[in-house]
Amino acid sequence: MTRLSLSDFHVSIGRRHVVDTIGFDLKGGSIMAVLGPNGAGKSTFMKGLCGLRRARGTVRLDDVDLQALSAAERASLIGYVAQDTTHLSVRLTVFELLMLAQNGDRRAWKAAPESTRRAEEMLALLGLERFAGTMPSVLSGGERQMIALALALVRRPKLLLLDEPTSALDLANQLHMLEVVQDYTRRNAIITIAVLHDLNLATRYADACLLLARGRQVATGVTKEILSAAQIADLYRVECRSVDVDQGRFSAIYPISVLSDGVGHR
Amino acid sequence: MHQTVAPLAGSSATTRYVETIATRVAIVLALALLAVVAFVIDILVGSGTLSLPDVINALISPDSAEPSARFIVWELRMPMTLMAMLTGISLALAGLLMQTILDNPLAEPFTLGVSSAAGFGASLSLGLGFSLTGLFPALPPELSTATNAFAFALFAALLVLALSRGGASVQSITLLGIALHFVFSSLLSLIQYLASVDQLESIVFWLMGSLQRATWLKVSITGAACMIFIPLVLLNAWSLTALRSFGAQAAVLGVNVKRLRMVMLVVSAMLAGLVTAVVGIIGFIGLVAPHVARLLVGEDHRFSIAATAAVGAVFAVVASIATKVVVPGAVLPLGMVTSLTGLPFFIILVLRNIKGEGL
Repeated sequence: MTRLSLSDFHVSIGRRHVVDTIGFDLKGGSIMAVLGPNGAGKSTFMKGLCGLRRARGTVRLDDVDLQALSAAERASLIGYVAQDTTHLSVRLTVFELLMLAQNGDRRAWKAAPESTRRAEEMLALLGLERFAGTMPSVLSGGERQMIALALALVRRPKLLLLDEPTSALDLANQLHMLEVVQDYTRRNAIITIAVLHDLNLATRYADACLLLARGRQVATGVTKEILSAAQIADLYRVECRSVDVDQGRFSAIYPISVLSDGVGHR
Repeated sequence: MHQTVAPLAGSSATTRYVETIATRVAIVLALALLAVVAFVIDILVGSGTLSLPDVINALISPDSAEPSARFIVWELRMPMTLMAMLTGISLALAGLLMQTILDNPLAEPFTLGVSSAAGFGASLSLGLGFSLTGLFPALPPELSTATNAFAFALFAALLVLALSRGGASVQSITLLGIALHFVFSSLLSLIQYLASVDQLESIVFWLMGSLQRATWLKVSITGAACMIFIPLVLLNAWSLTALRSFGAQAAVLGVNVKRLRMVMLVVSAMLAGLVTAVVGIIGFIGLVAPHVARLLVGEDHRFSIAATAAVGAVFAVVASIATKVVVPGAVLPLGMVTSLTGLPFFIILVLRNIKGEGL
């Protein structure tokens, strides 16, 4: 089974350490939510993991040290969906993008065998067949988010990184996307790490949570144990209540008020 | 999710994709054919009094042709036409690469100051009599100006590379190029100011760009460079499409973005520097040809590289024909013709951008 192990993980922008000393273990088939207030370093942490930012420390995926891999080797193991999908405003159709996602580093004119079949499979899996010949620039923000997810999954990653994947989605599509991600993660025993702002989505879909504040790891562990009212108050400076839903299968968190030292004092 | 477009009725996505590829291959082949037709016309047309049958005879059976006809066709027209074609291919490809790696639709080979550096190098030879060939006696004297121009063009590109080491943004690289352009333009003006009237005339004529400097030696050197660099560019076609589409995020697809940008920057400078060294400054081909090619075959570099090269070749060879027929009995500088014909395209591109249709 796939295993991910981080220890003493740091990410830098220029000479400044933005994310410091992160460490945790995850096993295949699980989803981890990365939570924290604005400026906590969540996106930087994700970029460090996928190689878009300079990082150091140990990141082992099934005994492979990701830090020691080349860009191409690392890319074959990791799928990344960025917070911003404006880069999908290119004049390529969705199907062409799915082909490109699988062959981006290829040094041959012809696409790799199986590319077209995998692209079709991915469109079918996410219910996006009707968009195959469409350019993402004419799609809605939510549809583009699903296309971005398809581009990450078509590479068949062992580690899926999602940076605020539901930020542009309405309620129904938030649930649809995370259902798809959860199902894919479980079915293929991969590891998914997702930055989320909605605590209720985290309690519902994430098996584990990593709480960040000012680039440091505040806590990590099983979601239900970590996301207590006290922990949320400490992290976000917001008073919350938590109630069990669906016979205790997950909990719902609703905010009461901002604590006196809340906004602007983090 | 709500549906915003019609489904692909009656055909699978793969079938549609294969059909699109076939269409693009056909367009590239048609463009290549057009370039060959323009090439033949350019050979047949000349400012001299040679008749069409004489030209055809000299082409088909040189041994039985009149010596003067053979000389005009094989020693004057053929090198000029081949050089026009190589100029178009090189500048167009250099433009495509610059627009891709700098993520700037208005970038062209000369964005990095390559043209002004080449102009300065040539003016050192033409105005002050200084040539780097003095340091390399093995090089033939006919290459003295070209060697200077190429060396300075390459120097400008390497300087931008050296200054932008450590992960400079594409905006920083563009700004460095613009700064170098002004430095070399000022130095060029200084040499023009110091030069005699005759020297000034040679410098100005060189800067206008002309195919009449083409010789078999120069054609061979430029052709060899194209044969080395074009396969290298084609080898990176997928990565260049990823870079054009995703920018720095192409790294998550396994593209070594930093290395790709550096290698293609050097290739672009070499291609543009070499032809500029031989024919002088030729504007607009590098800017316009990639846009025309993308309109025809889209963003996939597997097709846009070949289409850009073909469009550049057609543009340059047709311009070469125009240089010979616009004013009977005279051959106009190529750079003048490409700038005049390229300007309307440029204005159309800018207007498209203003209307929000994108470049």
